[in-house]
Amino acid sequence: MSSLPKRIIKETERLVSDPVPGITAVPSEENLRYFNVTIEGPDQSPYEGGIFKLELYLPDDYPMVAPKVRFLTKIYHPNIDKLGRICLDVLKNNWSPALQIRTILLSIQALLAAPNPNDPLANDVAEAWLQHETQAIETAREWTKKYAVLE
Amino acid sequence: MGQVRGRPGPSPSTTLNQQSSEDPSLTSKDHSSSSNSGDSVRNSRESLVQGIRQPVSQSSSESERSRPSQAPQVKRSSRSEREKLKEAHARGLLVKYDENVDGGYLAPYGTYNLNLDYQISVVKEAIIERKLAPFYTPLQDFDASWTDEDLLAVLSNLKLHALPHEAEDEDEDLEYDEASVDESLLSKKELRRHLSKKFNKQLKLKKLEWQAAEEKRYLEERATSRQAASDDLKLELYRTSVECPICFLYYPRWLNYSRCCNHAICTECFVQIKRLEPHLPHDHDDEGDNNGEDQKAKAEQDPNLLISEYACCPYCATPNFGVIYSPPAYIRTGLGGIPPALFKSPLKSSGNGNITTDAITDEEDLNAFEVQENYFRKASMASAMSIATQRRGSLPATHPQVITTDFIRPDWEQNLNNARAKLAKRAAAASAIHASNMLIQSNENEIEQKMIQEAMRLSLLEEESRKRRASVK
Repeated sequence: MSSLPKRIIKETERLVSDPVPGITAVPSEENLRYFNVTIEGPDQSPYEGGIFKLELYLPDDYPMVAPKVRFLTKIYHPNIDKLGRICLDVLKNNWSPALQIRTILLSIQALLAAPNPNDPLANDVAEAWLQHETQAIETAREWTKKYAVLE
Repeated sequence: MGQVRGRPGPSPSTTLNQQSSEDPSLTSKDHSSSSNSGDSVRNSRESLVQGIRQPVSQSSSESERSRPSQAPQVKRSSRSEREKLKEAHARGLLVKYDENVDGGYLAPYGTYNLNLDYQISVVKEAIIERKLAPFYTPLQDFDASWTDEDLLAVLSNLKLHALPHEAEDEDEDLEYDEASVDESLLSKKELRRHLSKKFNKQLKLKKLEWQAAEEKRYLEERATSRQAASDDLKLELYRTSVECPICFLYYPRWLNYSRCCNHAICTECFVQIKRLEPHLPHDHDDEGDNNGEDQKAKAEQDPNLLISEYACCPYCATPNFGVIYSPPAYIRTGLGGIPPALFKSPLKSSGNGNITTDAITDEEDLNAFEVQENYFRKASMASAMSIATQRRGSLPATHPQVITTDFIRPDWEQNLNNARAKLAKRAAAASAIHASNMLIQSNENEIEQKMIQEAMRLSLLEEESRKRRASVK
């Protein structure tokens, strides 16, 4: 088992000392490469009021490869499938080692504010989004209330 | 797929004839300028550069290590040849204290275990020519309020190379459990894989031993060797350490700068950045993609659809990432400079060429001081001219001072051809199976036809003989 690289230690420290508004990322005690994440749904989006749980894992060759991120909370979004997998360019071929946990989570939050149904991961959701947008947004709102709002 | 604003989309694909015209072979250049460093340099620059130069073709077999599934090359080198090249590559990655440039080294500290398949000779050459920052030993922490004594104490505890468990990434090679494998039970293919993994592990272990020997030699010799940095040099370098934005480690402030947007990157992070594996345009790679299979099928029909894209700048995503480096004008030690033990801080000497030379009896040392003085003089004129701080806008990838990711990994084209050949081979195998199925089918038809014809012929004969018998009656 590798000891934790300086970069991961510093990123973790900076996430605590200088937190991102609306986002938390806490490393698990057993594995400091595994983070429990929450993202607040952006205002004026169908996800407003929801707190979405995600998991984030830093692979061995991080930061030369992107972190692995997945939604744990069910979400109705054209770029997020029912397993919680996210279609976002910077998590794939457009990853850059100059990006960080912080910036990636901000990108995901921005994706909630601006769904992109023209390049979907969840085809059925994207189709609904393109054909009956008002209804799709309503469904997203309902799902948010049902799954992402803590009682 | 979602896109993050502010970053350009996928870079335009490159075709084979767009390859950089830079010539990685620098063999013809004259290295005699290093004669000033004197005989005390354990390896003279000429012999060093010759020793580390490897044929360009090496890089392709080198990369087979990281990509074991790579397509067989047209002319496959033998196992022992490939093993020899791997061993030479591993030796090229050793950090030796007496192979140094301006207080840094010619091989990486070991922040990363993976992706070390760059062309070693090209990188060493670029460092010696001061076109790329040397691999400086990083500081894990740095505080500008440290006294010189604090800083020197930290610096004197630095090793030449990190231990493997200190790296950013896990070393899978070392974890291979060859003892649990019964070689007699393996298929030919499995055996080949097993032997390669076993070799890689043994090589890694050997590399650890070699590096340990280098550490020992450094500890034993550094108090007396002229190739160990003076305290003045160490302080000059690390007094104003800066953090590399990618590994978050601290280095002397003379880092490499991106040619496009002038952001800093240490050499160890720079050599990590390379092209992605050959892939299809707009490839959603692995998970959750419905048309992945279609894409693969399409590629099998036309392997030339596979592309290889430039590595992009990590900071501004400009394709064809390259860096420039402006060395500190007044520090010129090690290969191509004065012995680093003789470096004196320009602030401590009186500046007007009055360096006290009383203690120096050796003519060669005197010579070294003259060299350093020359540099101070030049430095005062040139310090304001540094490209990194003076330039506005970006430099083209073809600029003679720019070192690109393709320049230190010239094998990308070979990799693309290999990937295409592999796909073509797979497609050919698939159509061969199809064709032979057809052939079998058509053979069956033919036999069936023949059997029917034979049956008809027999039945006709039978009928004729029946008629004959009938007419005889």
